[in-house]
Amino acid sequence: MKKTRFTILATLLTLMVGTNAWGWGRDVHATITYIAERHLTPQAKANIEACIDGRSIVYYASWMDNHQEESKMWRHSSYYDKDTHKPVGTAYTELSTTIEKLGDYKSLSETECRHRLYHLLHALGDFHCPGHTYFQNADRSFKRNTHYNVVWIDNKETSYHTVWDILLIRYLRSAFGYMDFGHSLDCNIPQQYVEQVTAGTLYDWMCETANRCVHIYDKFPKRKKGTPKEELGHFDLDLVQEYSRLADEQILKAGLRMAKVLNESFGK
Amino acid sequence: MKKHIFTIFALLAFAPSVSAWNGALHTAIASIADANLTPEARTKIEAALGDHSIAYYAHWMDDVQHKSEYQHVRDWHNVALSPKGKILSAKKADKSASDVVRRADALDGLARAVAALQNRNNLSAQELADNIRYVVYIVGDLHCPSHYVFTDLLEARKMKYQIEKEKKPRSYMRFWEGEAVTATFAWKNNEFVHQLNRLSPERVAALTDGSVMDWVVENAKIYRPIYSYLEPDQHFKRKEYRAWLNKSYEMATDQIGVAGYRLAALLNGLFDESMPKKSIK
Repeated sequence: MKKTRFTILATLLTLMVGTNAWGWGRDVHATITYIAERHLTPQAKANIEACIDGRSIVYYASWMDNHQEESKMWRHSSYYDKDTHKPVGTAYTELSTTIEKLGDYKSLSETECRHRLYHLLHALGDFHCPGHTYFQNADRSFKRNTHYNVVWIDNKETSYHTVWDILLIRYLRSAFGYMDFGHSLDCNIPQQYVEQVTAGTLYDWMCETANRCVHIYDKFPKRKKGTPKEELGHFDLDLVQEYSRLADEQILKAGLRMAKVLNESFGK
Repeated sequence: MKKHIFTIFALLAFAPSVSAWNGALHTAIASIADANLTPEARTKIEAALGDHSIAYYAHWMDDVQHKSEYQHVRDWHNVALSPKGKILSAKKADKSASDVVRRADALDGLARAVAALQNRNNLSAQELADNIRYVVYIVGDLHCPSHYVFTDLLEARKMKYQIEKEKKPRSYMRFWEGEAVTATFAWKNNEFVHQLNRLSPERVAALTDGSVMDWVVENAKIYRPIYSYLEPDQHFKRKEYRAWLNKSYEMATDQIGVAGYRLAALLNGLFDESMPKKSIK
């Protein structure tokens, strides 16, 4: 039953990163790339840093957010083609291409190699953000996304998307920088867990993320625009505790998987 | 008496800005320097600082300059330069020169502190610690773009900019004291070290070569163009502001690392006899 449910879900979902959806905050992106950096082989680390002027990959974790004009080829204003009824220009397709191209990075121009790397460093993180799993409904609409309002613990109305992108982690980990946060998540992890998490392909990781994150809609069904504050879902401290593990695990998984992709591409 | 107190407060309130890198960035510079001190230099310096690291006192000079015994350090933040990049002496500045030019005495402050440390046997424990802290602070400020006062660009130092939905304009000089870096990178102190303390020995040798004045002349060439980045009273939409930030963050951030390496070179030369001595001129 579980397998069937997963297959249906995987078929229905399309997971994307949108222009107007930002993604994890820069602290989380830095943490994800820092975890990845900790798991790079010496060879991969040396080859990557040779491509980016000796800098750490963490430096470029949010390059895509900061340089929107230069990264617009990976940002898509529409998620869905009404004529063909197919998802177009999806972040999945683009990221797959980037991973494929980085697999033969020596054949790329210096600029393309850098830009593909920046894309990977950011987009693979965003793929693991629970608020970035958009589900295609049976009628091919994209109604199951987090762009609607809830009430955050300070009693202020905010986008549910912002809760997952920024507020939840900021509330829990504001005292941490990326190094402390990365160390706290990536602490004595058994090799078996690393192997288990990094097994499979980008598509498998998408499906797993979707399956793990779909329940975030259960407590917060979409409300119509203009719904009175008292009728909106309230994200309270109990939910902070309940969802913190999900957020932390997604961040760790993103980092480990990023390291796997980078090691495979640059560790040869 | 009340009148005098009011006058003092009024003078302080309208005194020219002598702000510097913000505290976090001064600390980052000192931490990078600390990571590059030789063991001998670090041992001697920390003994003089009461078993504290230089990072602990990174912005101490800012914290004490309001005290009467430290009034002299209020002018040790800026350097004045001619349009061609020649360093001007604040002491020799014409009386008609702008106040900010006449008070741009950072190099003299650094020269005094370095000279005192070269003859440190004559210093009291307090003087020794103070002079180390002056060096730590002033070398940092000498790498802050807004601390270079070009005599032909004094009006440009007053430039402000405004971001949509914000009520008040922001100071462009203030921008260079923090936001040029922190609007892009939310790094903690150890993370600045992780990111910036990674240059090759050859690159470090090239950056720390020459005298302090050579460093200042080099920095002046890098910093002068910042006055062309902004139009007077420029208004930004949010997205425009982000794109505009991209002109500046890389240089401003890299200079934090450069300052750290140079501070270490200066301190190593002063406190480790096996290391080359750095001169001011």
